[in-house]
Amino acid sequence: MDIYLPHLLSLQEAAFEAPPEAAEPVAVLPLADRGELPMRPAEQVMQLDRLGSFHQFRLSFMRTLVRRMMAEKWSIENVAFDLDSGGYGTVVYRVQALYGRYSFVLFSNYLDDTLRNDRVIANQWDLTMALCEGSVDHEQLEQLRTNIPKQEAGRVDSRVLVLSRANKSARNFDYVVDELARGEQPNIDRIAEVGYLYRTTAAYGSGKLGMADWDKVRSVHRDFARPFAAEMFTCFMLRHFSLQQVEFLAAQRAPATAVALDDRIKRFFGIGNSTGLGMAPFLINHPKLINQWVEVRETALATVMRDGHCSAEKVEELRGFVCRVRQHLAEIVTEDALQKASNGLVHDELLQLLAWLDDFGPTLTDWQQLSEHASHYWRVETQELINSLLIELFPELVDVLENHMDTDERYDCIPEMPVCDLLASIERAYDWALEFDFSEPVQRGIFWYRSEEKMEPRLGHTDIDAGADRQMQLVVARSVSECYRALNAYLGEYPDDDVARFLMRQPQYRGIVCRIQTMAPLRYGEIRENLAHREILPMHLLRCKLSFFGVSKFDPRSRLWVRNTMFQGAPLVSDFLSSDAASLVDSWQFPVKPAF
Amino acid sequence: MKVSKNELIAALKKSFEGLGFQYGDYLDAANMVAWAQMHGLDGLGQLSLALPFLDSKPHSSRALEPAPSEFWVFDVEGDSILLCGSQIVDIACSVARRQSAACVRVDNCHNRLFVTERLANAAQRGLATMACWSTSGTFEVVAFEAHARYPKVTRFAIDKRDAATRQSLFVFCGLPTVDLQVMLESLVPDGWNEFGNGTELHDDFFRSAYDAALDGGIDMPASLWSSFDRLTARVLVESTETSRAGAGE
Repeated sequence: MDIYLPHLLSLQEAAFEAPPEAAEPVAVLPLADRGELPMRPAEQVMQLDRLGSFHQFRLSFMRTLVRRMMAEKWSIENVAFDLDSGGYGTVVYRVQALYGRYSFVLFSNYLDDTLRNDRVIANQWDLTMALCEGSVDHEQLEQLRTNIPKQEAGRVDSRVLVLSRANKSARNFDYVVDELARGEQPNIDRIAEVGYLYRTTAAYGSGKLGMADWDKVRSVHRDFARPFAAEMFTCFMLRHFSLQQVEFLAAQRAPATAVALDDRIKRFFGIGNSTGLGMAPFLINHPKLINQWVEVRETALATVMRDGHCSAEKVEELRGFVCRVRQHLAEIVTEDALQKASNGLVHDELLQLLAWLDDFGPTLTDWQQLSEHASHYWRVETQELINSLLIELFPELVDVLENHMDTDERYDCIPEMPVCDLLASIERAYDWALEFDFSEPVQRGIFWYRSEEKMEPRLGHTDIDAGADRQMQLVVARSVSECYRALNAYLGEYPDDDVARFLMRQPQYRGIVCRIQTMAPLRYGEIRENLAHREILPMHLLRCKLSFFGVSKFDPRSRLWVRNTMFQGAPLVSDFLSSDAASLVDSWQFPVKPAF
Repeated sequence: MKVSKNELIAALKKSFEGLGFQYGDYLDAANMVAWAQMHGLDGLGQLSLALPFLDSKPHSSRALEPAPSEFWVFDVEGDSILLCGSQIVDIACSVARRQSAACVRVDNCHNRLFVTERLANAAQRGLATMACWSTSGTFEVVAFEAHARYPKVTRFAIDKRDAATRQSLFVFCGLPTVDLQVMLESLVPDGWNEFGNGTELHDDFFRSAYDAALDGGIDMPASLWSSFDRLTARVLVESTETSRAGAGE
């Protein structure tokens, strides 16, 4: 056995020991049953267009958060609701979770309609907010009041977990207040066009701007010890406030006639989200985390494939899901022609799925039959939507995986690895990267860079735009290719050398070598795409991450940014202790208009 | 002002990139400084002293070739450990895996404290590691047991340098069964007893420092943060109407 292999195993926290040659990918999930799971291969899953076709699913972060809040009966109460008749002022919520107490502090400020801007370069917003540990005293509140509205231009301290902001929906907000003031419920069809009152454009956590470091959140604030849990909770609280605010304003305007929102309509309000290129580098800069998320999702799917029974009840339940999703797709309003067409095609293919279930449902013996049929006859987006629904069918099999979304993101160089073994790793795990010919102009048509304006990630055209000399190191495929060529040349001169000696002589490859050594043993590894390709669609990166967040109703505004909806259909705070809690907690995937 | 560990590392990465460090090197350099700061060794203070030198010329990793010797000896010609520390410790680890123990000497290097994080990294991978160096009036020893998270740092009030080794760094690395102390004492075979006990820093010191920094944030001098902003600006691209359009609207 090669000397370095025991070290490699200890790095990967393997659920089972890899064979000595480490030819097979190493699993990173400690599964209770370690039998053979029919995991889909990386070459299928890690294609960018498939990742960009992922949909929300049961283990998405919003879904997990809501289950936790309701199971643990979190208490969320106003301790301050100081709004003037225009709805401007300060609101503080006290949150009592299972392990700790938190405060959600929100500032509502007047913003002229002409100044409302969703771009990350904006510097004013309708709402700014922060999630803080413990209770907030007067002194801290004043510090927050000074800094929170400034967002990136301000500073906070490590008592703050998340910083966020939001802008009103011009189409919905005043309409809803007007209707409630008149004593009427807003029209649900109109609400469905834009399913939110506010739209958030960023939620910062993980230690930015002086906030609590992720390691602190993870170790001290166990209620949020899952990736993006605190950020998702902040968006949930924003939704809660938005519903309170419109009722407050209606009552202010017309105390004699104003009514509260019907709970079914309240649940149909989510929070809008606007996501652009700023999110894209995350997927490349956190490859171990993305691998973990994908592996959790694929493990859930594979567990269903192996262990999920095809009973008549489950087939009928799937039919119900499919009908709901078709309604959901039909209700999506988007101006993007491609998205509209795609939704329509998926809608049609799901009708074919219903017919297939009519024909084959009674004799179905395992879900693999459905998966194979889908892969042959239906588009990738339909396939992945079906996968989300299959996972939804078996909570008893998959929910245990929700605590495995986190991972140690440390990169480790293995200096004693022979150069020939590193080459073999590349040929096995990065064969896809070696297929790109970077001498072709189309393969190096764009570059990623950071703008002076808030270091916003942007795309430039090679040989046209300035900044290529300062491009971000996101084109993993190209770095791997260059390293591979250098290693081959080096091996000819130093056939017995190891990585340490190679990097001693060619240190410029250190970064990519460490990355290869870290990622190659992982089952899913890298996103298999050349991010410098002229026709690259960054939208796929955004949609992939957003699917793990649990968003719905993608509405692309260009190939570079997308609007979507968060927590639409989710239970309300008032539902946490209601007698309907059990029926509401997990019934809001792919939200549809409530029926009256 | 206070910054978090994540924020510090992010700022350091961009700053080192602005200094010309390449991908991989700026990641390692950021981790080296952050580790020292988080563990109570005043990494930012050390960096403040080093920045004028680092900013005096473009920096990129140099290829290293060992001097002709039966031991591993490198002359880095005045470079910072922030640039060559990874290469050095990698060589030590590689030799230790093959031969059970290694000693690497690096001449004419600066900012030697920052090698500590590299040693910590190697220790987490199952090797015992140690480094020592002389300053004016002290002899510093940093030692990690295999798999240890924190080192034992010993400072001896003694001057064992001579002109040839004034800016030298010794890195020892060994399998868990090897006693690196013996290798250290072999450096001064006739005079180890002169060292006495020295002052020591142990686990508790480093753990407390780390926990405090994680919980309350890291004190960041405004002048140093300004330096980071200035260096980071070198990797940013000017904003133009064309560039804004590239982000979508």
